[in-house]
Amino acid sequence: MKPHITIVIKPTLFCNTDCKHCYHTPEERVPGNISLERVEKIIRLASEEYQTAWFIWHGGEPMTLPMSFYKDVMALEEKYFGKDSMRYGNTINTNGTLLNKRFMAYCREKKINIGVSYEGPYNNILRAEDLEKTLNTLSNKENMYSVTSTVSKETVDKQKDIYRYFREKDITVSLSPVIGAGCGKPYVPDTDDFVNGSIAAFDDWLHDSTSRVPLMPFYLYIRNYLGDPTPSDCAHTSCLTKWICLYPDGSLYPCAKACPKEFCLGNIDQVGSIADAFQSEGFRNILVGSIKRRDKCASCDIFKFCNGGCSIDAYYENGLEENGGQSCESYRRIFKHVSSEIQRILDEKPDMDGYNPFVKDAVIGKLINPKTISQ
Amino acid sequence: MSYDAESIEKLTAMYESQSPNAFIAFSMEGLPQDNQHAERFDKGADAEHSELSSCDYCCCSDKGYCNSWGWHLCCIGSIVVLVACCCYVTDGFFGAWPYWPF
Repeated sequence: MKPHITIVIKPTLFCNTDCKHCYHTPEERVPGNISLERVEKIIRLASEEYQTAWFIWHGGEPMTLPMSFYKDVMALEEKYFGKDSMRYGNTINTNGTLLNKRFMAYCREKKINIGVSYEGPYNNILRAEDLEKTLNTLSNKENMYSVTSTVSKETVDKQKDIYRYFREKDITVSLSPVIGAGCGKPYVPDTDDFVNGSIAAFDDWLHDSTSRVPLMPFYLYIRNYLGDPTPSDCAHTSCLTKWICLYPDGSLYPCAKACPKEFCLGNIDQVGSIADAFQSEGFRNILVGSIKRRDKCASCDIFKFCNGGCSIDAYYENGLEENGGQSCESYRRIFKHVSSEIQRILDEKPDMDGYNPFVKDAVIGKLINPKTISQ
Repeated sequence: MSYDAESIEKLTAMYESQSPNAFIAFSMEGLPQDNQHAERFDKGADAEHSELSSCDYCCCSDKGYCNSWGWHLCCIGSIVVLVACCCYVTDGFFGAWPYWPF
């Protein structure tokens, strides 16, 4: 058995909102739900081929499906992986507009993480909904959840404000730039502006000694620099063969992020195993292109941290085989800033009380166990 | 270097060899640890879990609404009767409704 796979399931491409930056076009976002048979098959195959699996419910808007669908899904996961077996887990990524207390309670009972897309005070730039009450309820009920804030060209210099907004509410937030696919192209932030805004947010968080939340993805960058595995940072973890995405029509893709059809791995109805999907012509296409790009990255001093970055980002920027696009450039500059700050702390060993508790814990942990420092 | 003639097995091995640390680390992560859910669950922070079962009636939909038109009518009828009873007991809501006939 292979160790682990992350399975992104899009139970529908339909969405009840109309976010301006969506990488699915309006023509794609049509009603139509995945069949339970297809979900059962991928759960069964994952349980047979992998020790563990993490299921991410994505879309479209996954909450447009009734709660009974998720009850059936959880029953299938328990059937194939074993109830409370610790072999599987779930995250639902949602726009939050259809979350109700009943579903929140269900998520607590089934230990389902919730990821909410929300930009706090700047939410009206890309979408229209106000999620204040929903987030308050999630916090009051102690659900496990986090927020992803999409950074567009309008909010590129507001990343620090966004962090401050969620920090006051003790909500973990991840800052993620608009992807230049589908409807998102006009909203992609300028690279220089994005880097400057990210560094300002990181510096604020780094010296925020009373913060109780990690700021993503910078906290993952720190852990990566210190030698810890960060498999959830999909763009920088050599994701091919570790992630797979199932669409409502049964199509399989290596990624959930606006994968073009040339990378289709086949259909769940036709494959006999997940390994079969990774033998497809579509997988060969993305694999060859990614290898060629990573060959060009090999001499870069941070390649061992970024692992060549995200193939889909590269595809929409300069082409799959080319590095140096916006995502590459911004990661390189942000990571260099983050790593130089951490290296300075490691070298100078300053009083850590003035630093963020997450940074303090990560750095002190590595100072206690120096053999695990990758530098 | 041309990769087009290579088998997918060899290509996959090449891809993994480009970033061996990512795959070593991945193996180490094989079995994910339980997340904070368990801790919160164990310490009883979710004592209100009973709200799940208490809502599991046939009259309720998954969204917490009435499950059918029949239940809608039943609900509306109950509200009308309740308002009428209140109106009767308070003698026309303490005179606020002057047309109360009783």
